[in-house]
Amino acid sequence: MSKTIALSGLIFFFSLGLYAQQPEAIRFYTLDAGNGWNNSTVAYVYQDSRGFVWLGSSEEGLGRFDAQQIRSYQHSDTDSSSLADNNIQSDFFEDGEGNLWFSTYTALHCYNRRRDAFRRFRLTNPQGHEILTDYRVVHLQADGLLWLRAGEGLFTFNIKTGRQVAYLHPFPYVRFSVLCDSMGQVQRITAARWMLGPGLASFDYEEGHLRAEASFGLEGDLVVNCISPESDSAVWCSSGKKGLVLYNLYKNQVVVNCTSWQGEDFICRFVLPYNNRFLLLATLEHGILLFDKTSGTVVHQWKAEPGQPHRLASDNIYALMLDGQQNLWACTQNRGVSFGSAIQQKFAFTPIDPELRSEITAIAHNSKGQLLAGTLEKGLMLTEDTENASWRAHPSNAFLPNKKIEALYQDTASGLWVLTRAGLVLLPDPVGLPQLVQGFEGYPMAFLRLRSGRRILCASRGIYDIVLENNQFVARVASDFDQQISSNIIAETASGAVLFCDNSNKIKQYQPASAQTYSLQFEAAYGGRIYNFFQASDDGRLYVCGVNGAFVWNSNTGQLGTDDLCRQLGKQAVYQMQADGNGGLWISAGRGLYRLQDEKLSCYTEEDGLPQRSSKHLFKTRSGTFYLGGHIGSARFVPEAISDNNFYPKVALTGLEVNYQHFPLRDATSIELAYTQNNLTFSFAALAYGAPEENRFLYQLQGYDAQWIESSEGTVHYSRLPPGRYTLLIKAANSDQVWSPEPLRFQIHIRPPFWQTWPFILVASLVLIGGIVLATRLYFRQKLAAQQRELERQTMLRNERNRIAAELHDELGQGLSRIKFISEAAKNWELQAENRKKLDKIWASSVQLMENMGDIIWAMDSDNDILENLLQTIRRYTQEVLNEYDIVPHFNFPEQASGLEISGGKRRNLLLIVKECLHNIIKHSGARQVWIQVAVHPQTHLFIQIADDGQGLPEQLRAGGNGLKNMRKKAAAMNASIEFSNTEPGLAVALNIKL
Amino acid sequence: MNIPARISIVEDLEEVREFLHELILHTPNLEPAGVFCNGQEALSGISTDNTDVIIMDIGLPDMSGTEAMLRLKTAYSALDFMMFTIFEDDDNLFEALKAGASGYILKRDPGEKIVRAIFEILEGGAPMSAVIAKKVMESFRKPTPGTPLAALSERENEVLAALAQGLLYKEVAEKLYISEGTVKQHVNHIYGKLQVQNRTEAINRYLRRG
Repeated sequence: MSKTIALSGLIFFFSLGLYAQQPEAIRFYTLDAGNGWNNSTVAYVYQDSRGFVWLGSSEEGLGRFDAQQIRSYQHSDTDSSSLADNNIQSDFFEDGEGNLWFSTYTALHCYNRRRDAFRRFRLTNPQGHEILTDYRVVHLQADGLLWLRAGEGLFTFNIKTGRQVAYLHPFPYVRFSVLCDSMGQVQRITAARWMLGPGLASFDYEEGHLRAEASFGLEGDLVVNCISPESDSAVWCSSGKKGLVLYNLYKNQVVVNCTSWQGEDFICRFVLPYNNRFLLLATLEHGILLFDKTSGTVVHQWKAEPGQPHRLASDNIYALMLDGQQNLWACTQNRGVSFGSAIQQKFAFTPIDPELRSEITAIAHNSKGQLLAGTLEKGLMLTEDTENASWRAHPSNAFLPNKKIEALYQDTASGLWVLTRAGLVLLPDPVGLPQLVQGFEGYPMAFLRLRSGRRILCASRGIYDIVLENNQFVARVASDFDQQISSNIIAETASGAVLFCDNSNKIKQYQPASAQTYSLQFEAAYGGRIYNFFQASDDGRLYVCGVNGAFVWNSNTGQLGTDDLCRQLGKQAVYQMQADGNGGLWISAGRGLYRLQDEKLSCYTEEDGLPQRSSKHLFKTRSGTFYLGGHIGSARFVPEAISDNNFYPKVALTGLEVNYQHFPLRDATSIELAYTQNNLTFSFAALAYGAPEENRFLYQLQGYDAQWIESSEGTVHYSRLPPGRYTLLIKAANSDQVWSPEPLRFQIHIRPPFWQTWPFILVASLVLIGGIVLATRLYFRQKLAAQQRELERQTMLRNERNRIAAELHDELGQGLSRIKFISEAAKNWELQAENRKKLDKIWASSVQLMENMGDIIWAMDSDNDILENLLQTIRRYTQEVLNEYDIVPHFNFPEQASGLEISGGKRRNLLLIVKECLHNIIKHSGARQVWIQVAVHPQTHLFIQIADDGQGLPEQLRAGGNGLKNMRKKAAAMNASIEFSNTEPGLAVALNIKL
Repeated sequence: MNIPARISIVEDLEEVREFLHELILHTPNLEPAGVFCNGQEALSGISTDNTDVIIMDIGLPDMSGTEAMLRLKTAYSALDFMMFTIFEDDDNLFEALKAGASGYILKRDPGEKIVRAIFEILEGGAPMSAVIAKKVMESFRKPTPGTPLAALSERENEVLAALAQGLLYKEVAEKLYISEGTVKQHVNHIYGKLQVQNRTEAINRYLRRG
């Protein structure tokens, strides 16, 4: 068995790489009173399938942590869906519906996620009494069978049916653990009596029966506190006296025994398997211990270091948990809960010997594979390129003229060039005496050996060639670089051009003009201090790293440009770039160490374990390790071993306030609100616990926000949202900027007020239209009714007139015709002339009357209102009358009478006037011709003129005269003017009638 | 005409009857036939054996003159009727004309005029005054339902329009460059068409009861 353990351990070892895989320095965060969590004992911690972390305390009930705040659940006397009591007494188990099963001291509980409420269950003992104490859930099988201790017995409880089965009563064991098969069904129960006594008991469980097998280890010192099954035959137990033991149940013996760490005995209270190879032990006084199963020893300890940040809160650990994202949770006794990312630390540290501590200014290595570093003050240092190495003084340090090292250059042909303030020294490699190079002014700043073999030295006062003369290196002025350039930086491009930086931070590119001479080709201003050039090997890009950020130098045009990387890095100081061998580019910059890999740029800072955030010197050794210079030591890392926390953080909505009032969300994914409920405050959390303050959010309210909004706070507020449907999308990123791929979706539907809903609008518009239609109808109906009434009135009038006419006709007509006929017949009588005259008068009167009556009736007939009819009547009458007397009438009537109307009264008067005129003409004028002219002035005036060619009227008669007076009267009665004028010959009577 | 025409009188006023009787008696070529005071008597008494022209009062006590005329005309179509009316612009008169009366006289007309009108009818003419002409025009404009339109010819329309304006036959002839006789013929045709158009309606209206 130990072989399999060893083999699996080895496989594991290799699968993770060549370097130590145990988590070393875990950066802990602590939940304590500062987070609103009292420092009571947290005995149980669990991460549910949603990502929330539940904390069970012995006095404070439950707390649900979401990487931002703790939501507390406690017992309430008035709420039967709250906890039965605040003493949480078991681990948490999740069933198929996401509900949590656990127990408090007095009852079994099920937390229903959907209702955000607890349901309590109590079992009954075989005597039939309800059990009120000592509930402890140990296991929940996938088929819904819950194993728990209640009161004095061991029970199973079916969560679907509620059926309880007492398996063992009494069950005198305080602690027990189950071993399950691959299906999660309980196979074996191992129990210990702990405070009640030493030893273990083991029970087989088969086909519904629990069969007590044996008791083991009844030696007094095997007082077992906690049990963790290793296999079906062995269990790890922590024992008060014997530390940690592996007890083989079949052989009834202790197989492995580990009691002490660093010479101290420890007492273990909780065992958590880790990575198959290790066990994490929660101890009473020694913090957390890491136990290596293969070696059988404790290999690491995490303990509280008061005063140091990000350490365990206490050495007194009650329980441990490893969550889904490789964070380690430790419940301390009375000091809260500490948690931290157990993902292996990224950066190792090579410390500098305290006497040598000084800022590293340059790093190089020698042919032996050792690393050399120059410092600002303390000269040269040396270290091995391994872990756990440290920087020590270089043996040749004493020979250096000056301890201020500007730069180092590894010249494979000759050795290491050390550029100190006092001079240029060559340390030959592998062996040889140090050489001091003379011949230049100022102090050396940069050194480069070109591919052609030429060695260039940039000194503070000029540029020199370093040449070998008489086996000695000397400096000669480089005449073709004819400028004074002094900077630390010199580089050669892929095409063989040489780049310098001058005092004013201009980049100067020199082109080889011939085999040994160069000429200035380009010059470009950078605008700030330049730190380094970096030539990317794969695409030949040359980066300029400086205080204003990184730029791309185009060596064909001498122009500075940017690319994606430059833009992503932005405006910060970029110090140096190095490529690792695997397609990754590492950049040391002001905000941290960046890594560009597969087009993804990540950033590492102190939170990731960097000793200091930025360093001007990033060095890559031949073996592929990277060093970052610092002043108390250098950070050391292997790119392949640096892995990000690739666990996608889960996002959860943790709270909602509607109109600033708490709104119970429970487990809802959507919500319906009234239109007045439109001030919404959402609280959400990223359930990533590696470095909670580094969690970031992107949210967007679809239907309101036009784009994603970044936030580091887990709240967002929307005020006065208009009615409509929205979807709130939330994404989160953990501390390594790994974003959740799918956002959380929460649907919000704000119902419009009823007056904005379609049915209402439809109905309202229909009603409105209906109303308008009705109103219009009513109006027209009324109008019609009025018209009809008018018509009726008119008809009645007409009928009345017709009736009168008919009566006239009947009564008067009959009578008058009688008179006429009798008087006409009487003309044949023998009469005296006088009487005959009188008779004639009677006859004439009657005839006249009949005629007049006819006219009156004619006038009353409103059909004759049209002017046409009047004119025709005038014409007819005139002709009849004048014909008798042989007077010739001439008519000048308008062709179209234009439908003008002239009312009955006026008609009658007009006709009478005309008759009077004609009468006068016949009687008095002696005329032979009569002209009657009618003119119509549109809509307003009717003009009639009757003229004759007779004698005319004597002046005096014109004014007076009865007939004329009559005519005047009649004219006035119809609102007309009448004029008499002599026309020589004859008389003209002009009548102007206003219609 | 050598044979004196026989004129019957249907009139309810005694004085009028007497006057007419005397008038006709003393007019050469005219001979009084029957004198009746109501429609019934006229219906039973008049026939083509004894009458040529009937002077028919429009307003009879027992039936309208038009009805009496229609009945008689149905029996004896050769009879000519001259309607005797007080008032010219009378719808009853127009109805009578439409129903087949040959002409009309006004009660206020002097005796000579009455005689002249009788002779006119005997000569085949039919008087049409402006008033009547207008009514005729309107009648032709509005076709009676159920009967086919008897449309007037262009000439007839012209004559009718001229008459409606109040022109005398003489003036119409002058205006249209035709003889007065032609005008009279046109008027006869117009009447004919009017009566054809309206006869059925009149019969239906007046003789339905019969």
